[in-house]
Amino acid sequence: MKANRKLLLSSISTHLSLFILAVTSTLLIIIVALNYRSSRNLVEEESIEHAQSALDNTILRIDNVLTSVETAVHNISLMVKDNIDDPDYMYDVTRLLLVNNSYISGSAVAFEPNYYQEKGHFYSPYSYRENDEILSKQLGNKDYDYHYMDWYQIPKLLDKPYWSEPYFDQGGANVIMTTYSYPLYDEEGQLFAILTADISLEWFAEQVNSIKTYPNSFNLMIGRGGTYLVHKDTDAILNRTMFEAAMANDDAVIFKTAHDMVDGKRGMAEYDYGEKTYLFYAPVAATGWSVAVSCLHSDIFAKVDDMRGKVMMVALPGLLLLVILSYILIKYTMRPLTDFANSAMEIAKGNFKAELPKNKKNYEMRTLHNSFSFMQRSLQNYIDELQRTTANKERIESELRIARDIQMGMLPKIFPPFPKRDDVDLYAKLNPAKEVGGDLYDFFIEDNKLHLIIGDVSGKGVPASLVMAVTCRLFRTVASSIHIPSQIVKVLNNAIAESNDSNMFCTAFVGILDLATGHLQYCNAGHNPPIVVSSDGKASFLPVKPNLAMGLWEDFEYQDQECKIEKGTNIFLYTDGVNEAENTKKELYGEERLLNFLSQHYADKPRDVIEKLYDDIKGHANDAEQNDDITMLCCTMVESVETSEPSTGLSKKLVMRNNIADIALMAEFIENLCEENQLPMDATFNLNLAIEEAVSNVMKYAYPSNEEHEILLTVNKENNNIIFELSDTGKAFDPTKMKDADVTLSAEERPIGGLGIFLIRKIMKSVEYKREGERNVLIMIYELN
Amino acid sequence: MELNICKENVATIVEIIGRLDTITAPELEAAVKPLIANGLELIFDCERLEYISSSGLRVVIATHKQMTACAGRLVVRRLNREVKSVFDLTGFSNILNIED
Repeated sequence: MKANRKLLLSSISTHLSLFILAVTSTLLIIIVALNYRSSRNLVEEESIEHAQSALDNTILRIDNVLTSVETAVHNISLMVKDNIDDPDYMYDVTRLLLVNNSYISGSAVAFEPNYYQEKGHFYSPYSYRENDEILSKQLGNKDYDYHYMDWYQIPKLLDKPYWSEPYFDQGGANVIMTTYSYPLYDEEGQLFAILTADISLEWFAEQVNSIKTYPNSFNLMIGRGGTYLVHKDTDAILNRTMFEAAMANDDAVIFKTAHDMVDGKRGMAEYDYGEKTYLFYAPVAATGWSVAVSCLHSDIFAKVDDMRGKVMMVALPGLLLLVILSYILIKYTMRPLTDFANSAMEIAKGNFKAELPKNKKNYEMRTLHNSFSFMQRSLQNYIDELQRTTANKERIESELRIARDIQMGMLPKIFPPFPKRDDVDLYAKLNPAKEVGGDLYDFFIEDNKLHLIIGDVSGKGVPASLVMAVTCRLFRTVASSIHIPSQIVKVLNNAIAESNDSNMFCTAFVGILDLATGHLQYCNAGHNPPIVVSSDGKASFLPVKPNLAMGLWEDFEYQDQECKIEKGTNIFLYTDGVNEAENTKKELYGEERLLNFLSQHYADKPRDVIEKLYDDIKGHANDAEQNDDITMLCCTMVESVETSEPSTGLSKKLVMRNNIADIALMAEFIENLCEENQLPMDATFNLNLAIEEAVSNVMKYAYPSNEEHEILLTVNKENNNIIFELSDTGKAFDPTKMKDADVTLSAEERPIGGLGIFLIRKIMKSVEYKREGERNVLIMIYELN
Repeated sequence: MELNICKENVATIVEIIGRLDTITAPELEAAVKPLIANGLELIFDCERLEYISSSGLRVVIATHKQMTACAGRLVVRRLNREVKSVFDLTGFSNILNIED
């Protein structure tokens, strides 16, 4: 489930769909935001305009009515003056006013006290509406002393018409009203009456409340002192002022607005009353009142917000639909890719015939399909080819390995080859450039004469190795019956030359060294001249006649040469793989360098000369591929031990095989050694013990089973020390790293084993291990007391 | 190496003559093997034992362990001076039952 989700999240379809979603929704958000912003601005401007114009209209209507009232009152006042002598006519005047102007709810002509003697102190004919009828009555009496009322007093004092502040007309019309009072003067300019027209405040409220700008907007009107005249809260009317409201809320904005309104200014205020609210206000010039419309911000923008909501309601499902559709479409288009991936995996597993997706509708998929099927075919062909080649190669390689083993088996390669002889030391090495090579060497001793051959068959590889094998075998056979080098070479030459259709040839040097006299008889068949290194370090080529390489000319007469070899002189035989070894710059190792090297190492034993020289050649070649077989043979006639060794020292060696039966040889060797040196019994015992432990360790650990190898033990005496050096060619094995046995443990806890190295350490003065090239060397020093 | 094996009451005496080394240790091991379960006491008579190496010691200690395991006893007696010194050196003298 989790993996599926991960897969879904990482698929191209999902990525592309999400990308499309991101882009479209960003665009949509930008468009909606811009649109919303400009709509809002537009709506704001419009709403202000709308509110103000509604306000203006209302005020205009109020003004018109007020003016009409004022005009009507003025006209009627003339009738009053014309009929001043008829007090009862005044009822008709007031009635006429009501008839003339439907806005007027009541009218009176209030006379000064005792203006008409016959009417008394109070005389105020009054007409008013009741149930669509116009009724009249006399208003003034003791309980309603109008002479002290505002509508009477103020115009009288001001000497001009006056709109009263709205008031509750107690005893009159019993409604809240405002009264227009018009003072009347006689010829002498003496005030004799006040003509009034009442307008019910309800009417104003109707007018004011007719402004219904927004669902939650409300209107108000205040008087000259800030008293509420129209308010949604009817209790506030005439009872509270706008200043009180401002103070109650400690709102400076409302306070200032109230002042502006009272001062007759027009404008707009913005305040936060739990919700952002706009207040538009304008004065009613005639009365000094101020009308205001309060609109909620949210109301103004309700439509815009509503529209935004609607847009979102359409846009969000639209977006969702877009994403789903694009996801399905992309997934459908991409499906072949997944199928191709599956096929590729099949192919990668090795099934080259894996079926490819059939969907080839798109050009891209068709191309991919073609490439895939081409790849399948190429892979199939290539693998088939590779299998064939590999099988062939393996067969050839295995055959070559066997051939190499056979070829190497022909060469004597156990050194020292004559362990029983101490008058001759010989070492040889052959390293073919390929698995099999054309170089050869061989030697054996018969009648105290050392028979030697070194040769080089032209070419390399299998053909050369065949000739090499023939030559090698023939040499053994021929040389053991004919003891003259030129004759041996002649037989070999004829054997190779006969039926030599492929014109192979073999250069060779054959020598017979009389180990008793040092007389060397030799024959050179076109081979590199051997080098003779005398015991004082002079290295020189052995003078040779070239003769002719074997196999070229049947019955060619080869000539012998001879010379005397002193004891201690190294005879060095080699093939051209040595002096012609190339490095990466194609520079040859060279004869001069070879001579110098041999001259410097004149005192070394044959094994050391050859191994060191081989390393030197490798150093020269420096990773360059060896392009010819390298073969070297070195022998020395050694001065015999008995005559040369001083009687105080000793130097002996023993060669063993890795076979425990040879422990017996070792025991005998130690026995003899101790006897010769007249060592005491316990020393003999201990040396026997220590050496056996060391040797049996090597036999146990250094060699895998079933392989025969040699283990070399050399003994040297220096002053009071006998130095034993045990060396072998087995795998690296350091016995000194083995843990000593813990001799304090009880019998039950004692592990079986681990005693060997412990005993060696106890007996020997020092035990030291080193790895020299391919050899393990263990040096043990025994101190004589 | 030569071995002489004889019985004396409940004990089996193995006389070891000559060298007990890497070559001969397996011979002793093979010869002793059938004797371990039989006898209550096994005696290695070493009067004529000339030489012993760690391979020989291993057989001795292994035999000792096996005898002890089956409630028996191994006695090693009459060690010569050189062989005794190897037993001393390796701490075997402390473990084994050694008699003169």
